[in-house]
Amino acid sequence: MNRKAPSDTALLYRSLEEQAAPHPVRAIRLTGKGAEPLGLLLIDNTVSEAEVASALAALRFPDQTRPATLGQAEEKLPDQAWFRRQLAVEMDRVQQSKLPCALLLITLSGQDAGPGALAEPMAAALAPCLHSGDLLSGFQKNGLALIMPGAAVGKARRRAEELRTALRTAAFLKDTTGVAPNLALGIAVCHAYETIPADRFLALAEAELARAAKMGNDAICQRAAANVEDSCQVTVEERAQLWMQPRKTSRTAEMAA
Amino acid sequence: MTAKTKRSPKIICISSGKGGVGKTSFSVNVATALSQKGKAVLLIDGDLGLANVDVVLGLNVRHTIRETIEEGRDLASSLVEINPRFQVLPASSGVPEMANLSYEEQALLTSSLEEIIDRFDYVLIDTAAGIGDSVLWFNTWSQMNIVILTPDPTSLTDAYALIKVLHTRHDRKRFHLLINSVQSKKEGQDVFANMSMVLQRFLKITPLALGAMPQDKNVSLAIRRQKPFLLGAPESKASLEIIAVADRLIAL
Repeated sequence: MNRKAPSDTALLYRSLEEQAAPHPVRAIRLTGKGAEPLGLLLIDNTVSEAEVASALAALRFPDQTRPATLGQAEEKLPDQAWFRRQLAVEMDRVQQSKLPCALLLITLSGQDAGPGALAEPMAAALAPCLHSGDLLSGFQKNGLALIMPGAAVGKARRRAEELRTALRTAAFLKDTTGVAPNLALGIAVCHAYETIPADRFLALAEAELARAAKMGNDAICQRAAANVEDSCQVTVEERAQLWMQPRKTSRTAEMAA
Repeated sequence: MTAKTKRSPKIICISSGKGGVGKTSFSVNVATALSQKGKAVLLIDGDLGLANVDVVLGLNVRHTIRETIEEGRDLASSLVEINPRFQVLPASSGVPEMANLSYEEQALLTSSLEEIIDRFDYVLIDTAAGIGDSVLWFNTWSQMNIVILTPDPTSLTDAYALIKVLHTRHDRKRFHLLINSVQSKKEGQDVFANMSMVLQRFLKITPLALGAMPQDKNVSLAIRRQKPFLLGAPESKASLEIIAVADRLIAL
């Protein structure tokens, strides 16, 4: 599959998924790490999660990186409108597949180039690192947006580091003179237990991107898209309750002893 | 061998939040106690990147879960027999990649485990510390969640955080608490009562008490000797409590 525009196979799968939507079936796209989507599994939605997981586990595919077919002249990097549509589709898919989805935004500053002039070479530099199922598009003036279906925070972070290395060593950056370029990478991750709209998800990634840009040094910032009310952080009140009682009890026990 | 009969095992996950609170020592000894009571037990080292069940038991491990994940090797070939009713599935140590399994790898591990666990009455999983992906995954895969904590504020906070994540994000509602290293029975009761009160107040969860392990020098001695304290010091306070915990698990 080529990154810049969905391949015929991908379009066919999408069409099949849309046709399957009104029926009592689950559509699971089989995306290995090869160059092409490997298949589409349509399965009766009465089949249990465990059975589906077991069936999918038996379908293991070789771990391959994608061939570097990006940046070819005849292809154009998808724009933000395409990206927003895909993001909405992938957010729906998170609920259906129960797999997480990560969104990575990358911007480059400090380069003396016109609007849009850097996105294409950046995309070409990232091509060897992309996996099947990744959706890459342009973002803002000189940035990229990468949707990584199935990636949770840990995997998204590792992949962002890999992509950052690819960009740092890219030829188009080595040739430049003057001000050193600054990369900023912002990641947001959503899980099926979070129901957030695509716009909010994008806003979270943008906030992380802004934080990374402020930090400088090619920083990567990330966060899960948990709503405040879903946050698992132990609050001050909870800590106070947890800590007070045992301490008092221990002291009392010591004094009694 | 007893463990060859097809069974419907009870899968129990043993976690803690904080490290160093005695998960592995508890897991190894409670597995030993259950096997002494005639139950077929599988102990899985769920600390996939920094395993130490094999260390606590003094095992020389040839194959681990890693070979199944990376090479597709049959999981049964990695099992180590401790006694006719107690087997261990060891994991690898010093392999960071294993600490963060992908969803595909988790699915592969699940299906591989499902092929071997029906030989056992009990499957115990000694997880890593923390709230990493593999810890949460093992906890959601299990039927029963045991959380081990000590009276230390750090341990209390981390145990609470683990329960909060499992409840909030993975809808787990039943937790059995095991209070370790208590100075007295009363201290164990107080810690449980306090934790129970906080869980009820903030998360609307009522935990269940599994036991309170007393401080006992035989525990650390047994770890250094790489032998379960239940075998090295069967009359010790810790051994008596482990036997009581095993009885409670059987009764559940």
